[in-house]
Amino acid sequence: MAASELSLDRDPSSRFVPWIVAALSLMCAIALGTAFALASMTEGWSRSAADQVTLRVATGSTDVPALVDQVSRLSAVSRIERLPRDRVAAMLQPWLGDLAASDNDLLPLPELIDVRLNPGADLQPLSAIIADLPEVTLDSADAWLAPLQDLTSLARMVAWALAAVAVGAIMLVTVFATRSALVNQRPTVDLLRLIGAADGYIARRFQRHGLRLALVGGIAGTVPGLIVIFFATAAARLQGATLLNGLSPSLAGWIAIAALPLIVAVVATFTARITVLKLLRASW
Amino acid sequence: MDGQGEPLITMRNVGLRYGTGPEVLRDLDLELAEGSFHFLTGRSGAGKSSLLSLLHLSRRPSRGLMQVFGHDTNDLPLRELPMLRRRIGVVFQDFRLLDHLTAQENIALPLKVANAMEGARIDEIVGELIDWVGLTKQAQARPPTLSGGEKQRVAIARAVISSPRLLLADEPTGNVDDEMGERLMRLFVKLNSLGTTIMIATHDRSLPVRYGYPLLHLEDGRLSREIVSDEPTGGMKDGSV
Repeated sequence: MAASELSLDRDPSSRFVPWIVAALSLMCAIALGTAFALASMTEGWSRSAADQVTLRVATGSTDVPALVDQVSRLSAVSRIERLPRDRVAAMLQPWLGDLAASDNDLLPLPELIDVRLNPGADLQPLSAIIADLPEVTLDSADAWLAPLQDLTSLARMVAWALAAVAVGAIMLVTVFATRSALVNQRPTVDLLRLIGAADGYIARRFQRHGLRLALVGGIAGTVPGLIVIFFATAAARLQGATLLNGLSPSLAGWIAIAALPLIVAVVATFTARITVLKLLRASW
Repeated sequence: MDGQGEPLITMRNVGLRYGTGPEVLRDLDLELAEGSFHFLTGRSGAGKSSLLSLLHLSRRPSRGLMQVFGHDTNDLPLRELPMLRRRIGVVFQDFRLLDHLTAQENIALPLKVANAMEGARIDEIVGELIDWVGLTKQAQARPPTLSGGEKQRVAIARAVISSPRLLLADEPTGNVDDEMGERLMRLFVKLNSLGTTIMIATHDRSLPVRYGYPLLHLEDGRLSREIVSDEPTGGMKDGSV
C-alpha cells in the first residue's frame, strides 16, 4: 500500500506553490537577516555606550593629571586613559583639516579623557568630582546614540513587518492551493469519506502535501537568502565605518534564519490542515 | 441500540430534496431488519440512487426521522459519521475505483482509512478476498485495464472487506453480461447467508422474481413494498456461490 489515495503530487494547482514559497522565503530571510543584524549592531552600540564616557577638558587651569588620578580612584571606573594630543588631533582632522595637527596656540585643542566604567556603574560620584570644575564636561554617547537607535528600531520593525507579510502570504498561498487541490480531488475525497475515512485522515494527506511543497520552497528561498545576508553584511563591514562593526546577525539570528524552511513548513502544514478540516466540516 | 432484532435502518416520513428543488423522495417509511435481503426497483429517475445515498449516509434527509444502527441522523455529530459509514459497504453503479491505485490497493482502502490494523494483516485479508472474487491474476492491475466485470468484483470486494453489517449495491449487474451477473448475485446471496444485510437497487424486475427476496419499489419518490409471489430459484438462497 505504497501509493497514496489522493494523487496530490500530480495536482496542477500545486505546481506553482514551491516557486512562490521560495520567493516569499527569500524575502522573509532577508527581512529577518536585516532585523537580526540591526539588533546585533544596536546592541553593540548600547554596550559600548553604557560603559564609556569622555571627560572633555577645555584649555584652562584644570590640573588634568590630578583629575585623572582622582577619577581613577573611583570604584565605578575600570580603566581611564588620557588621550594623547595626536589622537585628539586625528579625531578633529575631518573638521579642522591640517590646522588640527599644527602645534600652535591659535587653535587650542581640548584634553580628552576616556573613562571606562564597570557594568551598571553609577555616574553620580564622577559627576560630583567635575561639578566644581566648569572647564570639564562629561560627554556620554547616549546623546547622539539615541536618535540612531530610534532609527534602527524603526528599520527593525519594518523588517519584522516584511517578514510577517511574507509568512502571511505563504499562508494565503497554502490556503488557495489547498482549496484548489481539494476541489480537484473532490470525487476521491467524497469516496474516502463514504468508505469511512475521518476528516482528520484526509486532512493529514493534504497537510503532508503542504509540508512537502513548503519545505522544498522554503529551502530554495532561504539558502540564497542566507548567502545574500552574509555578503551584504560583510560588504557593509568592509566599508570600514566603526558604526557598522556589529552589522551581522548573532549566532542565534543565523540559526533562526536557517530554521526558516522548517517554520514555513510548519505554518503550511497547519494552514493546509485547518483549511481542509474547515471545508470538509461544512458538508455532511 | 444495535442489538439483534433491532432494525438496522428505520425511516419515518422521510423526504429528500436537493437545494430548493421539489422533493425527490416523499413520505418514506422503511425498516430494514438485520440479516434481510431486499431488492429496490423503480424506473430511471424514480429516486433509487437518492434513497441509496440516504442509506449510505451521503446525505441527510430533508425531513422526517431516519435512524441508522440506532443513531438518529438529525442529531448525529459529524465525528461519528466515519464510524457508521465503516459499517456500510457500498457498490456504486459506476464502481468509483481510483484509477491510480491497483486493484489490490483499491480493495484495501476501507481497512486503510479505518487505520485499525497493520499493513501486513491488511495485505493478508486483501489476498484472501481477491482469491474469493477470482481476481488473483489482476491484483496488481489498475482499473483502466480491467473489464467491466472485473471492476465490479473489485468494487464488491472493496465494499465487503471491512465486513459491513449493511451492503448496498446500485445496479451491480447492470454493466456485466448475464453470466457475470449471475456470479455476482450468488456472491451477494452468500454474503447474506453470512449475516450481511443487503439491499440491491436494480431496474431489472426479473431479479427479484428469480431470487424471491422482498421487493421495495419506488415510484415518483414514494416507496411501496411488494411481495414477490414466484418461488425463488432453487439453490439461490442456500448461500452457494
